[in-house]
Amino acid sequence: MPRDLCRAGDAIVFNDVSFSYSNGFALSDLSFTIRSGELALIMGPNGSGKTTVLKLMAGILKPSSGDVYLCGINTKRVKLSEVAKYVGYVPQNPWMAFFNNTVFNEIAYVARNIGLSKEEYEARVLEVSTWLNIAHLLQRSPHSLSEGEARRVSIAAAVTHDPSIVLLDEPTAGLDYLNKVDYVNIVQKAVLRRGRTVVMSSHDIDLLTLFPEAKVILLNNGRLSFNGYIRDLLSRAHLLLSNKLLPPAAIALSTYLNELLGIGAEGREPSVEELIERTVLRKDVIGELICS
Amino acid sequence: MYRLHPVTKVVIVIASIIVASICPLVCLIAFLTFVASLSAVGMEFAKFLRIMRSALTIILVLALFTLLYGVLSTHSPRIILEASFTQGVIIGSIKLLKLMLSFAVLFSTTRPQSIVRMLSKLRVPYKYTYILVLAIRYMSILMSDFQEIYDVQAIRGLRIDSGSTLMRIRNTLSLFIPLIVASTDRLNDMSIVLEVKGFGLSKHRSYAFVEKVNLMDIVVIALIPLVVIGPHLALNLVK
Repeated sequence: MPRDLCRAGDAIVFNDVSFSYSNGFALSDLSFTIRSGELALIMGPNGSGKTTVLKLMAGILKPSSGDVYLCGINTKRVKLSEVAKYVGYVPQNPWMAFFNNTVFNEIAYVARNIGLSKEEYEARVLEVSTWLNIAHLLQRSPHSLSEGEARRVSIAAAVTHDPSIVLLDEPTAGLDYLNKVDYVNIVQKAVLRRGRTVVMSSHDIDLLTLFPEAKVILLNNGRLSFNGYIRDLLSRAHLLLSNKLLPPAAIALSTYLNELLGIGAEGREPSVEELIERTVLRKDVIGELICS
Repeated sequence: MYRLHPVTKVVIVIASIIVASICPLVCLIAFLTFVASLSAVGMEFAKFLRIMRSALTIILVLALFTLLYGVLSTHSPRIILEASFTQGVIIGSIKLLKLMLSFAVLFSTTRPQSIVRMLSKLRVPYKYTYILVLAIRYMSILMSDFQEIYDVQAIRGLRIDSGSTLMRIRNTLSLFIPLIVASTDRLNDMSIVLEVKGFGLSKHRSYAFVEKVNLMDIVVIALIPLVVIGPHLALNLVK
């Protein structure tokens, strides 16, 4: 299976997918499409099924009914080791994957497994580690790395074999805002700008503002709540609330001000003059809001 | 089985070990039937079937390997037809099934706290009983960590069932090294939590709930010698 099979068209297709665990939790009738080169965020509260969806995408789990297509290939019909050729998977906990004696071997592991030649994978490791500023770590043991370094190595290990699709499980869990921004830059540099399809599962609402062009698949209790783009989701902030997610602070403030000024209440955008007039009328409330 | 006192279940396990070590086939079968009947009646039937299925699978694999080893070591497939050899494999399988069933019943129908309370009554130091309980509780965490690591490595192209022996060993290590690292981290966290909570500072422990021995426990314990010795005596009388 060629690794660049999926550089155009639909990268991931969920077709009426249902899945259930023995403990009773189930995903039901999920249907959505993620196009090649697109960034998609699988969002939802804890226990909504994000990781299960990601595992279905990776071919780790097979749907109970319906079909998952990766680059047009049904995951039910291929072996997981075959899927590895065109999917890179970044686990939430990087140490769950590390076992080699050096960072170099860790990064080269998948490339070796799928049969790249020594020259080819050595060149790829050097290239990827340079993008991610981890070239100085290549001879270190992966178990001696800091959290941030381990996350970079984990991304490098997932993209060295040049997969078409990169899946990241809760990539920003436990990171503060600045580290999140740093992580987003890494993802953009190493993955997105190279035309790969990226899917992240997360309940981190900050990602909505950090990736404003992303597609959002919102899950709640194993069901699809929203499938569209961030701009559409943010214009319906109540959807986030009803799915137990708090909208980003800027969006919450903007929604509040819109309601306060009655923007959108008449079904049309108000003129600039109308806006100034309403702002003057409510300047007491707005002033108080800014002061607080 | 859930209502039985933990001591009763431990007595069943000890009896099981003694019967497996010294008793003849007829007692083995009688005791196995006794434990199996108790389990089938006293716990969810689906759970009982699950335990039996797992135990039988392991025993079948072991029995097949023993037969295979017999054939390979004697260089003769006729060994399978030898009554003493086949009988040995069958008796071994029954003993193993009985032991597995007794232990499975003890651990699947007794809460870890009950085991702690029981061992405390037997004056085993709390530190050691807690280690035992942690080990029991840790099994499910270990299994879920192992599954997660297996999934992660599988999507990285791991193949355990193909390649040279060296490659297979290396690939197996890819599962166990992260598991050891994750377990060590978890144990480190656990020991810090225990120290912070002042574990072991107080020597005297009290319990909000203490299981009591009831009539059912006495009946079950009384039945054990009858089940073990009864068939043997009956057989001798018939002879």
